[in-house]
This record gives sequence, C-alpha cells and structure tokens, in this order.
Amino acid sequence: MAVFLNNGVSVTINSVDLSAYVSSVTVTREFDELETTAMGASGHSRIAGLSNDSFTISFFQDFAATKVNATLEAVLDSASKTTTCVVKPTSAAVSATNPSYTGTIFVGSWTPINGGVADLATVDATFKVNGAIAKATT
Amino acid sequence: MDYKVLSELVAGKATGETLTDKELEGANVEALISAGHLQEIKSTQKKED
Repeated sequence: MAVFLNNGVSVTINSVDLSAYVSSVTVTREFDELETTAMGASGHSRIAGLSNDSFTISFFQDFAATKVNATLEAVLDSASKTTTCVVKPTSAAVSATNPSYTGTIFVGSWTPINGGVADLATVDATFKVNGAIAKATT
Repeated sequence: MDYKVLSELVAGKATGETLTDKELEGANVEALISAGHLQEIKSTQKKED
C-alpha cells in the first residue's frame, strides 16, 4: 500500500457505521512515561506505565432517529456507558495494509450542541479507552 | 436472545436481518435498542395441550 488519501476511514461505534458522519478521526496509542532517571545519568530514561489510548472523532451532528446523536447519547445514557469503537483506514476487509484498531470506549461526555450562529453543527469527542486499543491485521 | 435490525447503519447487516447476542459481543445492546437500531425478538412457544 502506498501513500493514500485519507477520505475513506471507516468508523464503527457500537456496531453502527458512522463513517458518513465523520470528518476527522485520530487514533492515539500511548503509554504513560515513568521517569527512571537516576543520579549520575547524562540523559533521561523512562519505562512504560499504563496504556492511555483514545479515539478523537469529529462528527457532523444529526438528531434524526438512529443517526449520530441517538447512537452516542444512548451509550452515554446506558448503565455501563461503554461500547466498542473500531477504526480502519478504509472500509475494505482487515489486512496488513488495512489494519483495524479496536477499543472499548467509555462515553463519559457528549456535547450534542456545539458552535456559533454561522457554524456547521458538529460534535468533537474524545473517547478514552478502557484497557488498550487492539490492532488486528487479519 | 436475537435482535431484528431496524436501521440501515448497523455494520454488516441490512434492515430486517437478525443479530444474535454472540454477534453483538462487546456492543452496548441497551444503547442499540434505545437508539432504535435493534428490536428484541420475543421467542414464541406454542402451548401444549
């Protein structure tokens, strides 16, 4: 796979394909950095702490039944407030060149109304992952 | 429990198709029903005489 246009990213939340309502998505895989630099060191040293992964997604808001707001607000209103988020570079089958990134997200906040008088109605959300994002290539 | 798909956005399924609990592993079924994506299919058992 060569360089490619980023206009086909697939975003599925709670088994609902919301790709057509997403303008931007960022998958972040990171670990806390625990400083282990000791006296006598000439540079910093670190070890990995806990994972702290997240999905940051910009949605075009839609209040129609079964669309963006209904799908996400229902998770926010549910008892667990958790569900699965899957992001792939394209909607094609998972492969080495089209890996999937899957995580259990905690929907602890949601901003259904956001913006000014001349703005498109959008929602920018960051979903923290419980545990870590799993990458799959098959 | 099985569920009937009501919306056109459920990944990999068309409206009217059926999903099982196994297929929905990891999903928030409560939210899917609340959002109008799924409907529980009640099992119907015939009464025996």
